[in-house]
Amino acid sequence: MLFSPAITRLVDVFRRLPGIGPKTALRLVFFVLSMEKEEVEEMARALVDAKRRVKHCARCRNLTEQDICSVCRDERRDQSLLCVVQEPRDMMVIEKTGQFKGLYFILHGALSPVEGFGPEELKIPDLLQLMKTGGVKEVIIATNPNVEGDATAFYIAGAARPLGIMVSRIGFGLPVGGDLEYADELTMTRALEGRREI
Amino acid sequence: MFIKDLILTNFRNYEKEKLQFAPGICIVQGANGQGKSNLLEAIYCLCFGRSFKNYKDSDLVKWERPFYFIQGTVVLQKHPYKMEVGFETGKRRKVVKVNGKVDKKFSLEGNFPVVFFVPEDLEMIRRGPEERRRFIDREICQISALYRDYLIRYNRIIAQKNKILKENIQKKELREMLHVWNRQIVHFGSRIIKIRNEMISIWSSLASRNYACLFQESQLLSISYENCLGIKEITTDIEEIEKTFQNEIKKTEEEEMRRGYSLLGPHREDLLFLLDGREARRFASHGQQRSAIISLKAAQIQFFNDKKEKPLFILDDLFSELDEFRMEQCFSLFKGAEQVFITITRKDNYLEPFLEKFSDFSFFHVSEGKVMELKENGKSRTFC
Ligand SMILES: Nc1ncnc2c1ncn2[C@@H]1O[C@H](COP(=O)(O)OP(=O)(O)O)[C@@H](O)[C@H]1O
Ligand SMILES: [Mg+2]
Ligand SMILES: [Zn+2]
Repeated sequence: MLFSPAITRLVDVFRRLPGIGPKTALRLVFFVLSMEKEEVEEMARALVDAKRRVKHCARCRNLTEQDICSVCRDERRDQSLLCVVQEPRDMMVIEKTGQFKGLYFILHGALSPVEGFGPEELKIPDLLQLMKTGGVKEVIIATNPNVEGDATAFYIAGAARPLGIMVSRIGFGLPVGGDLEYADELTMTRALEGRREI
Repeated sequence: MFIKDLILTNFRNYEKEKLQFAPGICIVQGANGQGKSNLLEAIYCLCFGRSFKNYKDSDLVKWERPFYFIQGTVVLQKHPYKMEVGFETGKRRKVVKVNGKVDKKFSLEGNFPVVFFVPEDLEMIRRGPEERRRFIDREICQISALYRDYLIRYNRIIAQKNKILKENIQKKELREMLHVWNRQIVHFGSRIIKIRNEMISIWSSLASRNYACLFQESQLLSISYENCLGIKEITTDIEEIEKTFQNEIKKTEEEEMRRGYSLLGPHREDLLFLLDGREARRFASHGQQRSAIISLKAAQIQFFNDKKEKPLFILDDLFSELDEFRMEQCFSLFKGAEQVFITITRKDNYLEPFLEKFSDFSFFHVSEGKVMELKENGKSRTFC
C-alpha cells in the first residue's frame, strides 16, 4: 500500500466530485495535507454547514437557507409570470440579464427515463399545484434545447394548457405546440455555423 | 477534396508514419495483414473524427500503447484543413481539432465528400436489416450534417421511450409520457424518412443503370426503401409524412405498451435488393449480390458527379474478386474523383493498362506497418 488508509479514503471522497479523476484527487489531498489545521477545519465546517442549512425553496425549489427564497419573497416581482428552468445556474444566467421580472421554478433536471428522472423526481406535481393556485397566467419554459429538455417542455405544456395558462418556450422563440419547423432552421443554422468555424 | 499529408502515431499496427499524398489515384499495395486497411481506416478517421464501423477508439490504439494520434491535411475547395484526431486510453479522452481549434461537434462530418467501400459492404444483402440501416446511416451522415443531427437525437429519443415502455407505470400516466416522446419521434423520424427516401431513390436509379450497363447483368436491379410507414410513394411534403406517421404511431401505441418496446419508426426500416422483382437475399447468386452492391457503391460515386467539389474515394479491397471487365468499369468511375485510395495485394503490374488513362497516380507499398512510396524509375515500376 503506497498511501495510508486516511489518504486513500480522502482520495476516494474527492473522486466522487464531478470532473475529478484519480490524479486530480491525489493532488487535492496533498494540498489539503499541506494546509494549516485551522484552515482544513474551516473547510470541513463550511461543507457540513452548507449542506445542513441550504435547502430547496418550498415554492420554487431554488437553493436557499430560508423556507422561501429571496426571489420568491420579492414583492416587486410579477407573480403571474413563471419561468421553468432545469438548474439553479440557468436561473442565475437569466437573472443576470435583468430582463425577467417574474418568478421561477427549478426542476433540478429534465425528463429522462434512462437516468431515472420522471415527473415525480422533477416535482412537476408541485409545479402544477403552483400553476393552479399561485395566480400564474403565463409560463416560460427554458429547459435545455435537447430531446430531454424538449420532452420536459412538451409535458409541462400539456399539463398547463387545460389550466388556461399561456405557455412559451425560450431558446427557440416558438410557442410549444406551434410550428416546429423553425427548430429545423436552427439546427440548420447551427450546422452552417459549425461549417463557418473552420 | 484530397488528403495532402498524414502522420500516424500508435494507430493500429502503425508506430510512426509520415506520408505525403498527391491528388489522383493512390494504389496501396501489400500482402495480407500488413496494414493496408488500417491506413485507409486512418484516412477515414482523419476526415470524420472516428472510425467507420463500430470500432471503439481504444481498439484503434496500437497494442500496449497509451494513445493514438492522427494528424493530416485535408484540402477541400483548395483550402487546407489541418486535422488532428487523438485518443488517450487511460484518461478515455478523445480530442478532435480542426486548424488547431477543438471541434466538439465534429462539425466537418457531412461536409467532406467521401465515398468509402469496405469488403464487409459486400455481405450487406445477406446480413440482417440493422446492418443495412447502419449502411444507410453511415452513407447519408457522410454527406448530410443535418441528417446526422436528426439521427443522434432520434436514437436518444428511442432509448428514452423504450425505457418508459419497460417501466411499470400506470396506463394513463404511461400514455402521457409516451405522448411527449412520440411527438419528437414523429418530428425527427419524418425528417429522417424524407431524407432516406430522397437518397435511396437517387441511389436506386443510378444503381440499376450500373447493374445493367456497367456490369452487363441481364436482370433488372431495384433497391427499394422499406419505410416504416408502409407507403409506396413517399411525398416530399414533410407535413404529409408527419401526419401519416402520427396516425400510424397512434395505432401502434397499444401494442407497444403490451410488448414493452417501440415498434414503429426509422429504427425498424430496411433496404430491399430486388432482381427482376425477386428478393436478392433469397434468390440471387453470390456474384449477382456482389454486382448489386458494387452498382450501389458506383451510384454513390456518381452522385457526386454533378457536385461542385470532386470527392475522395477510399476503396478497400474492391478489386480482389473483380474480373478485368468490371475493373475497367470501376476505373472509369474514378474520373469523377479528385483522389482515390485503393488497396491491392497483387505485386505485378496488372493495373498498368487501366492506369494509362490517368495522368496522376502513385504507388505505396505497405509492409508490417511501414509505408513506402514507390517512385517511377524509368518505364517500369516494380514492387519488391
Ligand atoms: N490496435 C492494434 N494494434 C496493433 N496491431 C493491430 C491493431 N489492430 C490491428 N492490428 C494488426 O494489423 C494487422 C491488420 O492490418 P490490416 O490493415 O487489416 O491488413 P491488410 O493489409 O490485410 O488490410 C493485423 O496483423 C493486426 O494484428
Ligand atoms: Mg485489408
Ligand atoms: Zn423560491
